[in-house]
Amino acid sequence: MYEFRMFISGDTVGNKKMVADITSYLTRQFGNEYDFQVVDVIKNPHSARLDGILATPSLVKVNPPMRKIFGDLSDVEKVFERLNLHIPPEIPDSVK
Amino acid sequence: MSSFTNQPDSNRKNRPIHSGHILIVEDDKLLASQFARVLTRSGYTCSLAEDVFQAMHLIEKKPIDLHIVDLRMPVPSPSGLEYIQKLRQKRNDTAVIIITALEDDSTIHQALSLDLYGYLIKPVSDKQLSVCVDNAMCRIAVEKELQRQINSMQAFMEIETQLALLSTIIDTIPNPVYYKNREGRFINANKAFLEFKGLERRQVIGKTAFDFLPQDRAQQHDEIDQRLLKNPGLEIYELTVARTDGSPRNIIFHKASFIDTAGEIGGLVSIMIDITELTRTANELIKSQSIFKSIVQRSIEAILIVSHAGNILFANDGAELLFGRPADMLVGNECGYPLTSGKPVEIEIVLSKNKRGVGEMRSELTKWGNQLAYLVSIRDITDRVAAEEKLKQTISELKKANQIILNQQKSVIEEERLKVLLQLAGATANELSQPLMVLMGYVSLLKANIDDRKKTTSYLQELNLVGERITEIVNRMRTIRHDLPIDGFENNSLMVIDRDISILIVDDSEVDYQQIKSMLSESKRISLHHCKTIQSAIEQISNSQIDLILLDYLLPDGTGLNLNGSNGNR
Repeated sequence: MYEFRMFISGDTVGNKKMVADITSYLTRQFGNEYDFQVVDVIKNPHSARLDGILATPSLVKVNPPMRKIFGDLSDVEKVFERLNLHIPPEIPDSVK
Repeated sequence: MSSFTNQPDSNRKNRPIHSGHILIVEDDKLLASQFARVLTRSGYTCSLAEDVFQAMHLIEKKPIDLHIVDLRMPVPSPSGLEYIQKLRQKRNDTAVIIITALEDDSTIHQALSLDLYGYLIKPVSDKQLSVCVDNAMCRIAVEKELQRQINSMQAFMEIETQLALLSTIIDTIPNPVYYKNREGRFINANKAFLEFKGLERRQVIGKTAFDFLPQDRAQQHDEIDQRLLKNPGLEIYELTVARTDGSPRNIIFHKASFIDTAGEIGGLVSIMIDITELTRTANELIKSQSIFKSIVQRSIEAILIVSHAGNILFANDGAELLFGRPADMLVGNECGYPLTSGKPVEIEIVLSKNKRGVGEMRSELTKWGNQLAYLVSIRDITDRVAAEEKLKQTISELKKANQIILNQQKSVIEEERLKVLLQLAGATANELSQPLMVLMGYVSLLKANIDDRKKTTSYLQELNLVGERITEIVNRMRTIRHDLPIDGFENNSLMVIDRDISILIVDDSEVDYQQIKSMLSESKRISLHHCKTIQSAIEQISNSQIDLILLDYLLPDGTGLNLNGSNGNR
């Protein structure tokens, strides 16, 4: 069973949409075989500290190897690409 | 087979003594022995072979300088000619003397084509044999010496060519190169060295470092030279050296001892590499890096370096400020992979002590040491966001307050209007009461004098006057504004004015006037007037009652403001 934990700040419209998109994605990918927790750090600041969360929104794949991602989580496909598949980023020429 | 070695002979006093190994291929044993004795006395070493087979066997065992060959050989041996041909196949310069009884032209011709060293017809005297062999050996010696000299010459030319090539290579090398002998004297130096030192070749070759360097510097080099001369190897060291223009240069010396052909240390070779610019650039780079690092460290914007695995590798002072914790608590923290989509993204910062902040995050892929990492910069926009929210709240409150004021205004206006209406109604009722009384009075009189035609007529006339008076009063009341609500526009209504209106349109465009006229044509209670200039409009207003002016701004004799000004004066 896949376990995911999402950390948000407040019950805003944007956060609700993000949670709904991720839930929808998880259902499509895993059916019922997943556990998705949403933690509001405003209500549960202690939980954020325990999980080492510095910023929201953050999404954590709990199953080992644990992976965290934070920032722009609006593109759900990209989020899960980075979380699950360890796809290396495109390296621009200037960095090569 | 037999061989004869050198034996002293008193008859050989005047005969030259030569060395060399001679093979005598002669089936006549006595003759062969005779030949061998003669030649041995001369100092040669001889071997005998009775036929070609023996000869072929012998030449495999030892080197032969000269072959003396009889042409006729016993069967089944190949002939002497065949033997010589075989020899020539192996080595073209094999020295051969033929001793044979055959003297026919064909044989001689065949033999001569073989480049022989002698052709003797039997019987051969000892002297003939001796002289022929001596001549052949001389020739062999001369040819050998000649070949040796040719080889030497070729080797010499080869060396000369190699040296010339080496010299060109060394002169082409942009680094100063020189080499010294074991005594420390310069054997050679390339162009780059001479230019570096500002010396000519003659000032360097044969000299030592002490001849053109300061004592202490020359001593320094000499100490290293002595070490290398004792223990062959390579030494690399750095010195600051002054160029001809006096400018100091950082030079790395690569100095090594070389071994000569005798296997001993022949001297030293040194290559100088000028690293002055490299050192300067490196120092500047270090300085720049230091400045940059300082700027980054002290930047008020939070800067993090996050590994590909999501661990913080570096946090600057700004990050400490933003996250409210020291850098060493941030470094190593697994914050996660920073995801941006090419543009800044707003994130909420989870601060300690239950505080929150808002940041604008940017992320770029970079290198940190040897690994790929993310440069994350976060600008603290907490105050800005708070100000924006406060502003939104204020605007909302203002809007509400505005709406309340508007509603109150409407209420007040309506109240006032109702007051006025009531007052008007009261005044009108008051005004109406008098003609109504007169009306009732005349109705009573009419009733009482219904048969009196003359009086009835008079009373009806009076009644008519009263009726007109009442009509006038009622018509005045009907001009009071009342609003007609419009479906779909809850806060708006149409103002209904049930009276004649006179509208003046001041517009120099006939087309525009006709358009307005067609829009207002349905109302029978609107009378339209048209003027094209301000002056004519003023005259129209002066001469007639105008209730409303529709005014174009640009007119031939001024602007609408000019008319409004003059109208204001009126």
